[in-house]
Amino acid sequence: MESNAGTLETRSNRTASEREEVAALESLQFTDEIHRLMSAPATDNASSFTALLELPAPQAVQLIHSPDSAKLIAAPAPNVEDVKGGFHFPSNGGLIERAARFSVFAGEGNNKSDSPEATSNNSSANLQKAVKSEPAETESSQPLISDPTVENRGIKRKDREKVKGQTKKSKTTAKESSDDAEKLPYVHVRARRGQATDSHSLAERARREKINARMKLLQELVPGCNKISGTALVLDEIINHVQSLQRQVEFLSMRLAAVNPRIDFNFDSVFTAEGVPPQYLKELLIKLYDKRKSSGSLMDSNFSGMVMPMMWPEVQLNSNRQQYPQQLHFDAFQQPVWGREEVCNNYLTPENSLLSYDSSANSGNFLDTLNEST
Amino acid sequence: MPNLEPSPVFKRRKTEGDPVSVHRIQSNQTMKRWTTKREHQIYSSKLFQALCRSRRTSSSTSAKELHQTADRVLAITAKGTTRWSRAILAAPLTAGTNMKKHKRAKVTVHTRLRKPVVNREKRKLPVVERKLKALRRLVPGCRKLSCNNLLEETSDYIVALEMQVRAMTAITEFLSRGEAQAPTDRLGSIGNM
Repeated sequence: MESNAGTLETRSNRTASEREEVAALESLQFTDEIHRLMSAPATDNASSFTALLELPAPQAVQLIHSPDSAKLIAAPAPNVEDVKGGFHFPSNGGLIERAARFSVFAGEGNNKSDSPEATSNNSSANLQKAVKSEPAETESSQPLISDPTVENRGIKRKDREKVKGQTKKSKTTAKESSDDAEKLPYVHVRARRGQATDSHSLAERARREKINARMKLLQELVPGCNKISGTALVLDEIINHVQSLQRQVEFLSMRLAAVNPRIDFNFDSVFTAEGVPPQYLKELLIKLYDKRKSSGSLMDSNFSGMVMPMMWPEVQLNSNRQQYPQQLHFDAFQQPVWGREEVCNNYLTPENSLLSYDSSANSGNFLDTLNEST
Repeated sequence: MPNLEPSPVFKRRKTEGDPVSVHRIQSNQTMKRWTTKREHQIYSSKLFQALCRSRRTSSSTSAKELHQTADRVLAITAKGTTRWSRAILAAPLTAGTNMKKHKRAKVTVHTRLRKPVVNREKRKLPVVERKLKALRRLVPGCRKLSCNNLLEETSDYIVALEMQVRAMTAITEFLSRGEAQAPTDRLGSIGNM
C-alpha cells in the first residue's frame, strides 16, 4: 500500500494533466490512455477511494469539497477506461461502484456552493454526460447497481446524467461521434456500449459510418430505394437506375441525330429576334465580323461577354416560335449571316465556354426560351 | 451580367479547399448544382452550341457521335470536380467496346477447374463486392476506386445523368417543334442563299 501511495504520488502530477486532457472529452485517444493506465499500478487491492483517484489522501479530500467538479468527474474516467480495456474486471467493478458513490459525494459537495456549481455545470455538462455514460457502458452489471443508489440521492445533475446515460447514451455518442467526424481533422469516434475499443475497430466503424451515410444519400437519389433494406438490394437498384439513365441518354441521342439535319437553319432562326429592326442587327453583325477580323483569336471572353448581352436580350423577346418565318428576310444579308455563324463558331468552343463564365451566363438567358418548352 | 457565374464558382472553390468538410460540401454540391435551373440552362446552351459546331464540321448524324458529344459537354459542365467527368474528358476516342470480358472469363474457368467447392463459396460471399464491381463498370473512370469514393461518384453521376436527360429532351423537343412550324420557309431561305 505504501509503495502504491508512493508511486501514486509521483504519478499524481501526470494524472492531473491527464485528467485535464481527459476533461476535453471530445478528443479521446484510447490507446494512449489505456497504455498509460496499464502502466499504473493495479488498484485492485485499494480499498479507499483515494486510491481510486490515484491521488494522495489529502488531495482527494480537498477535491471533494472543491467546487471544481471537472476534476472530480474526470477522476473516475481513467479507471473506467481501464475497465474498458478489459484488464481487471472484478475489482474494477468495485471501483466503478466507488466511483459512482464518490461522484455522488462530489455532487453533494458541489451543491453546497451554488454559483461554482452553475459554472462548473455549464463547463462540464458534456463531461458529466460523457463520463456518466462511460460507467454505464461497462459490461458488468455493477454500475446498474450503483445507479439506483445515485438516483435515490435525488441530486438533479446526477439524475439528468443518469437519464441521459441510460436512455440517450447511444444517441449522444452517435451524435458526438458524427460531430467529431465532421468537425475534427481526424476521426474521433466514441465507443458505444459493448463494442471493442481498439483503434482498428474504431477506424472500421468510422469507415462503415461514412459508407452508410453515402448509401443513404444514394437511397434518396434513386426512387423507390427508401423502402428497401439491405446493402445488396439497394446497390441492385442503384445499378438498375444508372443503367436506365444511360439507356435514356442513348435513345435521346438517337432522336437528336434524327432531328439534327435541320440544325444549321434552326441556329439561324433561333438567334434572330422579331422585335429587332433589321438595321440594328445588320450593324451588330458587321461589327462582329470586323471585330473578328481585327482581333486574331476569339478566345477573348470579354468579347463574348460584350457580344452576347446584345444578342440575347433580343431573343428573350422572342418567346413565340411562330415568328420564325418573319425572320427570314435577314437571310438577305448573306454575308453577315454566315459571318455571324462563323463568329459564333469561333468563340463558342467548349473550351472557351469552360474558361469564360460570361458566355455561360449569357447563354443562360438565351436558354429561357429553350426551357419554356420543358 | 458577366459576373453572374464566377461568384458561385469561386465560393465553391474556396470551400472545397477546406479538407475537413469536403464530404459535406460535396453532398451539397451534388444535390444543388445539377438540380438548379441555371445549371440546366448552362448545359443546354453548351450542348446546343457543340451540336451546331459538330453539325457544321462533319455532316454525319451518328447517334454515337452525338452521345459522345453530349457526354463531353456534361463532363465540361462538371468543371472537373469529379472523377467521372475527368475520365470522360481524358479518353474521348475510345470505341466503347474495349471491354476485357475475355480476360475475366479466362480467370473464372481456371479457378473452377482448380477448386470447385471453395471458389463457389468464395464467389458467393462478397455479394456486395460483386455489385460494386458492376457499378464500377458503369460509372466512367471509377474502375479502381474504393467503395467509399465509388458511392460518392455514383451519386454525383446519377444526378448529372438525370440533368442530361432533361436537357436533351428539352433540346429535342425544341428543335422538332421549331422544325414543324416552319419547314417550307426554311427551304425558301436555302433558295435565297
